[in-house]
Amino acid sequence: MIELRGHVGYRARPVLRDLALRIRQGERVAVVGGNGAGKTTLLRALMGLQPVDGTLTVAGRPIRRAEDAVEAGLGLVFQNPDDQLFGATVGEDVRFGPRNQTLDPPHVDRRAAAALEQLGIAALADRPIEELSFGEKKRACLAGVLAMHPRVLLLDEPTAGLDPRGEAALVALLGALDATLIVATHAVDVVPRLCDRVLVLSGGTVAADGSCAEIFGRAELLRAASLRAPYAEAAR
Amino acid sequence: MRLLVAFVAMVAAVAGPPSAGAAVAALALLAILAESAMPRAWRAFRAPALTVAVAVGLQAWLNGRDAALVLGARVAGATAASAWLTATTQPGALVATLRRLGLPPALMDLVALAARYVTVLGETVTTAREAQRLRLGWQRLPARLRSFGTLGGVVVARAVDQSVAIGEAMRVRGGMRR
Repeated sequence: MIELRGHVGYRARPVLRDLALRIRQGERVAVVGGNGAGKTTLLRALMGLQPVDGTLTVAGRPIRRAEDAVEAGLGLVFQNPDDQLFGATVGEDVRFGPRNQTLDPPHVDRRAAAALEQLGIAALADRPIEELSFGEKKRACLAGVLAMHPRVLLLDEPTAGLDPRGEAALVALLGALDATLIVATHAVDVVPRLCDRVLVLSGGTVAADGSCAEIFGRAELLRAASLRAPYAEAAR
Repeated sequence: MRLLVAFVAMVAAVAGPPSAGAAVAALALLAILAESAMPRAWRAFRAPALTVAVAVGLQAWLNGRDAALVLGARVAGATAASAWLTATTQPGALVATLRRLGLPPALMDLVALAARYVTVLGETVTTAREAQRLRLGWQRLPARLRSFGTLGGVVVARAVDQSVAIGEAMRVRGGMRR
């Protein structure tokens, strides 16, 4: 269970205010909102990368810095894969996290191999990062985080920049994961396929919190938050 | 006005007696604190401050305490004055002022580009370090050493990539014809 109460940012100038979030284990939560609504900021706050003026706990453990969040089982996939990948090769990058979890080398290799296999990029293990396509980089990022066996996976705009086939494959993959998902996105069409709960960020706070059907049925709310209903929902 | 004050302070610190350097450093620090610019000044000047500390230490070891005090006071004064200027003035305003003073346009383009990309590179370092922290890369000493080495490589590689991209962006807007 993740609980966040208070403001995100510094007291004098909060980016998100009056938050009272509770995310239960196994939930699949979409964080939606227009550009600059604070989606990335919220994910960063949950990961201990952004100051919280209030309390943030995961399973009752206070989170004060990124390392606390990682040890509590949270993992973040960045929006821009180039911000996240720093290994010389895909395999080396994927091994980085498990190695820092002080696992023994054979265990690290097994974790990395399993994550690469899961993402369908085992053949890219020895490939230099700069030779990957954008979609392959996205998968490598996800593999690097999954290799650490997170219980809660936070994804920042996971489908941004992917072609429709890549997007469908990623959604299928994420749907099959046994982890709590928190997905920040403004790709509303993906949300009903991936999540069962939606948080709408607007005006520097959580403007609405409900199921996909509840949220996407509120046209006025969506307009105010610079969003629209998913095409599949609108066609119903 | 700030540019002029900073320039006079730097000249006084470097060319005047060591006490002037110390006075400039103290005044600049007070001004930085008064304008609540300490975090920004520290971020921008922690590396130069460390270099100065090492240089002063070496001077003390090689030439004695008095020589180290003279060097330390002068460099601290000049560094603190420039930290005050850069931490409390937007780079754009600084460049605009220098342009008005009649400095060559090509030089000013270079200064503007440098000011912009110091920030970009700073963000690159911050983001790459965050990515490493999120995979426990800065938690224990062996991991820290590995991460530090990787970070250096990442920043150099991204700086090169960024410079190539900027060069291309300039070329497609005719910026390389001058």
